Amino acid sequence: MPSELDTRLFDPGRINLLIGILLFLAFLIINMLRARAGHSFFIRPLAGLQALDEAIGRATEMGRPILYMPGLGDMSEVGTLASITIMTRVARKVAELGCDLEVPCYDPMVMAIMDGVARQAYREVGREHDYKVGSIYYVSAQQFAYVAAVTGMMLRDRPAANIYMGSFYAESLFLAETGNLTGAIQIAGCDKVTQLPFFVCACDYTLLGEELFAAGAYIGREPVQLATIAAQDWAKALAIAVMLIVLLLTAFGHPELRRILQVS
Amino acid sequence: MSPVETWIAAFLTLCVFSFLYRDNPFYRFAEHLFVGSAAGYLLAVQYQNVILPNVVLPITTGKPTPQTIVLTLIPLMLGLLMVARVSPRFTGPARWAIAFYVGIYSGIAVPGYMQAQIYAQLSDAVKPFAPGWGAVNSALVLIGLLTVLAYFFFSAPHQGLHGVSARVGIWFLMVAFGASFGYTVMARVSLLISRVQFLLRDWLHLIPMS
Repeated sequence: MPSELDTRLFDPGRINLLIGILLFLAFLIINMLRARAGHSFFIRPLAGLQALDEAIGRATEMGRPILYMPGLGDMSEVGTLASITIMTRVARKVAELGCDLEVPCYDPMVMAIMDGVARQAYREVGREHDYKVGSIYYVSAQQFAYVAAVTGMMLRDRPAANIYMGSFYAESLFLAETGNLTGAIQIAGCDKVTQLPFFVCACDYTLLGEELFAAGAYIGREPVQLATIAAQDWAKALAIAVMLIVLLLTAFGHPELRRILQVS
Repeated sequence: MSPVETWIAAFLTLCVFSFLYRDNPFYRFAEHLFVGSAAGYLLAVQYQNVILPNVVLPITTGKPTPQTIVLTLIPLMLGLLMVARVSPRFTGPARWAIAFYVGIYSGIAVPGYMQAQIYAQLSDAVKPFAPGWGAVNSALVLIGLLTVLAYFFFSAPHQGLHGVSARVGIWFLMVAFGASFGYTVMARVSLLISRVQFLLRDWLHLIPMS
C-alpha cells in the first residue's frame, strides 16, 4: 500500500528544531546590534587563516600558481558554503597581488558559483580585466578521476600553495600527500571528522571542523561578521548548559526530558 | 574477466602505480583516460537519470497538462541560464539561477545540519551513564565533549580554566585523529593488497586462485 503524502505545513515533532534556529537567530541579531553599536569582539587567532596571506604572498614571489580545492561536497554541504566565503577572500587577495589562481572543481554547480565569486572579487579590487577565464574549471564528478587529474596537475604545475577548504572524503590523503611531496605550503580546512587526521598529518596548517565555518567571518575582520562568531559561541554555551541540565535531571529520575533534544 | 580485459586492467594498474616514481607519460595516459571516460559516463548517467525523466518524458509522453509544462519549463530555464554564462552577455541572468540554487540549498542545509550534527549529538551525550565500569566510559565521553567544545570557543582567550579545558580538548581530538588515521591506513593497505593480488594471481598466475 503506498504511503500517504504528508501535506502538513507544520510538523510539531520538529518544534525543538525551530526553537533552536530562532534562538540562534536571536543570538545573531543581538551580536550584530552590539557590533553596530561599536562593541569590539575578541576572536582568538587561527594560525591556518593567518597563513593564507603568507601562502598567497609566497606564490606571488615564486611566480607559481595557487591551487584552491573546494572539496567534493555539493551546495547542500555547509562545508562548501564556508569554502565559498573563504574563496571570496582568497580571490580578492590574489587579485590584489596579481598571482595565478587555479580552482579544479568536482561539482559543476560549485564551479559556476566559485567562478561568480572570483569574478566579483576581482571586480571589487578594480581588476576585473585581470581575471583569467578558465582558471576555475570542472574536472570530474568521479571521485578518483578528480584525484588523478589534480595530483597529476600538482606534479606538473608545482603550485606554490595548495588550499583545501570544504568537504573532503577518501581523496583527502591522496591530495594532501601529493601536495606535501611537491613542497607546496598547504592549508586545509575540513568539516569531515574522519578526514581531518590526514590533513593534520600532511598539511602545514589545518582548520579543524568548526574553525572552517568561523574562517569566512574571521578573514574579513569586519565587526558584523565577527559578531556571527560570537553568536556561534553563545549557541555553544547554551548547548553545554542544556546538556548539563538534562543530564542532571536524567540522573535525578527525569529521563523523559531527553525528548526535548530528539527531532522526529 | 576475459584475458584481454585482465591485460588492460593490469596495464592501467601499472600505469597508475608508476606515479610512485614520478609523473610520466604512462601515468598521464591513465589519468586522461580515467578523467575522459568518467566525464563521458557521467554525461550519459545525467541524461538518463535527470534530463530524460524530468524534461524529455514529461513533454513527449501522453498529453502534457499546463502544470506539467510549467513544472518542466521552469527548471529547464534555470538550467539553461546556468549554461548561458558561457556568453558574457548572459552573465547577469546566469546569476539568477545560481542565486536560486544557493538559496534553496542553504535553506535545506541549515536545519538538516542542526538536526544531524547538534541535536543528535546532544541527545546522545545526555544518555544516562552506563552501569558499573561502563560509567567510566560515559564520563570520558562527556568530558571529551565538554573540553572539545571549550577548544572551539573563538570569542574567549584560552586562559585559566577555559585554557586548561581547551588543552584537554585538543588532546582528545588528537587521540581520536590518531585512531582514525590508523584505521584508515589499515583499510588503504587492504586495498593495495587486493590490487597486488589481482596482478600476481589474475594476471601473472604466480599465486593460485583461491
